[in-house]
Amino acid sequence: MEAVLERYFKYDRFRAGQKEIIESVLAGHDTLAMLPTGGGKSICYQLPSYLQPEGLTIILSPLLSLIEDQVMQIKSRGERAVAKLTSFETREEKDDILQHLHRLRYLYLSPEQLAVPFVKQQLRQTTINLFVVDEAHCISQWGHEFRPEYARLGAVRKELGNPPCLALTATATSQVEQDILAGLMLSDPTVIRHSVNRPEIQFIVEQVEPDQKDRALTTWLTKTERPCVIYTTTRSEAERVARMIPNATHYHAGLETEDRQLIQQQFLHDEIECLVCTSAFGMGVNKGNVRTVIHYSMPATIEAYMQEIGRAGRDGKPSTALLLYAAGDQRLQHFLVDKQYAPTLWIDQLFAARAQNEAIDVTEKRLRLDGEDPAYRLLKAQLLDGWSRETIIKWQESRKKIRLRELMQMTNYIESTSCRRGFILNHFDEQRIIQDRCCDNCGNTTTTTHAKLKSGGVLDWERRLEEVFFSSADSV
Amino acid sequence: MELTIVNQMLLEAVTRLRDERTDRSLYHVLQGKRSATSLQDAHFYELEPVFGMLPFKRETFDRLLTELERQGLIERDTTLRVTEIGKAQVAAPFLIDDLGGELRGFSITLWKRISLLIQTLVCLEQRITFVPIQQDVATKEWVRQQIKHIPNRKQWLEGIHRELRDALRQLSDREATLISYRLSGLKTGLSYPQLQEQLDSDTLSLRLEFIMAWRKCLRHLNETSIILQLGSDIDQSKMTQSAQKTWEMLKRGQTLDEIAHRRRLKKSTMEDHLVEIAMYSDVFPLGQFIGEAEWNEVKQVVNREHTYSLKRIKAELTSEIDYFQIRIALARTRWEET
Repeated sequence: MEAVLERYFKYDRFRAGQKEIIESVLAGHDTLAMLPTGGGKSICYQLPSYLQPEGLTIILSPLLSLIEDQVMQIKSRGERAVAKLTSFETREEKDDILQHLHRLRYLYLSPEQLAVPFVKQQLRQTTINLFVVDEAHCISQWGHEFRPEYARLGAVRKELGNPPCLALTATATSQVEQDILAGLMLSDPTVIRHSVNRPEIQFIVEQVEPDQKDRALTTWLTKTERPCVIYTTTRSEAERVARMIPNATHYHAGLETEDRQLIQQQFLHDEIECLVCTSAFGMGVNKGNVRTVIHYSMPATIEAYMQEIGRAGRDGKPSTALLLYAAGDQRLQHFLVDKQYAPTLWIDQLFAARAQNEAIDVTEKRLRLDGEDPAYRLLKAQLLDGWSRETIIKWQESRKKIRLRELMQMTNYIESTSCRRGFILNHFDEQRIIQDRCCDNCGNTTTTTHAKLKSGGVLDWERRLEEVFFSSADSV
Repeated sequence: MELTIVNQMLLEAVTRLRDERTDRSLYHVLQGKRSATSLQDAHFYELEPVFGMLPFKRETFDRLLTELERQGLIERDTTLRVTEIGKAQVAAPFLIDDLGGELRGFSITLWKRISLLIQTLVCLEQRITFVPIQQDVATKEWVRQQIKHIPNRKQWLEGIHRELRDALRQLSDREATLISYRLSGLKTGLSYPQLQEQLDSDTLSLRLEFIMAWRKCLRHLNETSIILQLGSDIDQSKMTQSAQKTWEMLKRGQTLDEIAHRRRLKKSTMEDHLVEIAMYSDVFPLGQFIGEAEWNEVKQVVNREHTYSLKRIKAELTSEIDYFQIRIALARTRWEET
């Protein structure tokens, strides 16, 4: 097993939890594995394939960007037998992939694609070694990222002849864990839970006056190590903050594709020290030496927070998670929660149209509803599933309540005066621990005195052209 | 008034529309929509150079037009119109004529190929992992095929470097900077937002400046240069594939009815194809569709009324000429002039 790890993945040893999970998978057990972000989840399902004589590993993943990144990484380590089925592929490409499933080692799909009858039919005719559900917490209505399409995965797995299942998630409370086991209909599952604790990360929260945030950020940047990722909630905020910091740049989903690729590459190659981004950044970006993750504004949940700070210290060296908070920061998150669900007006309009037997596409056009808006998409799915008006409203209300409760937990974390690591561990039903470099409340954090941020040099195109082609890159 | 490059280009484009088309029409031309109407708009109103070269998102397009409107340069009614103040801002040489849309994205496709090929080869040579700078499937597949045909990577890279350096030396510093700082290899290219501060511009304008600079760079390359060779197979034909098929069959001597029947095309589609052929083909059997006298009358009306609006032309005509004939006549006027 170690030889395979070395040969295909270029690692000399397994990280905590990985070997256990792989052994369980190879033994054919249904497995639920909880590994912290940055714990090397993908190896757990990619490696077994090399130890099995034949058969396909299918991976369900909720986000297109996640699928894209994974496929890219597999290809960049030299493995060609990988494909993806998402809404990006054309019909011809999809057909081609489905006709040649036997040539593939890995197939990534979105849950929507797996629901397509033709896809299911083709998959039934091939040997599936492993049915991987990534981000499995999406199945739980109690989870922070519930996705209705995930709810059907258990049934689909049955239809595909019950291949062994590996459910993966970074963070799950015990409630969510129960939902995953039941939802995917895992039989006699092996549950491997690795602590969510990241001992190499120290936790700091600073509460500031709203108009003092920029100054606080600038000060912290001189006291923390880089490379550094700064998360903001909105795109415009990312742009503004990036302008404020020398040699920093911004990344969000509004950038052109080529620009997005450029920034990712610059960051991976240590050509920029500070990246200011929205949550669009990070999915699958594998960079070991991120030293600091700063939240310029609060995230919506503790789970999301853990996910984002999990990008620090993947190389195991000391790192820092800093959160800047100003009174009133919750308001934006409140607003975002509301925006995720359809307003009562739409619900009433859609039901009225339905009573008139108007086709939903016609209603959609007439009311100018955006087919891409997640709030509307969710409502439409529920409507087509035959939910009543009362059920939908009740469901939405309860979802909002859950979200607001999660936001409250995040606020509690910020306002907590006891150990922050303990607070997080407690949230995931784990025992508190005592360690060095823990958190600001424990009072044992470390800072560095740092040289000033370098600003970009003078532009010199001829030298630059040389550097692109020949001279080895100096790190910043 | 100092306008950004993107706004200047939009203003030029609006001016060429002669108060006869809507903002939607312009939007589709900028997107490069290959519909009969948009192809015709691009051809009649001399907007071929911008065809498909400013593919803004709808919101961005609206925002830019609103900006021009607020500056008093254009008015948006049922049609888009340039104001007197706007007209004063537009003079030859026109920026939009440098974009190269008439080659149907040739320069952009070539850029994607070259930039990804350089990045891939440099990184393979140095054995470093990389994020492919281009994401579209066609480019990636092309690069994968090309790599196989390059036996000596080091030599190839040196050759390309020399070609680029020599061509860029003929450009202004700003133009050369825009190109070399977008390339990736051992160093990674800069995003437009990153370049924007140093080059004192906005991202949309920079993208357009980049295209113009890249086209200029290509013009300074030798016909036999590696770079130009790598683009020799890029499709530059303006005609849609479907119209090309119809044209092939016509040239083989099949009648319109036969073609329509064989290809199961509606009359209106056949007409669209014929208009395309009339616009883009150097030879065209004009006499089969419109008589000499009628053809002259359409030309006179166009010159007198200074319009390409089918409705207005139709209203001024004395003889019975239908819309299809007018379109065909307009399509051929361009060829007559040159």
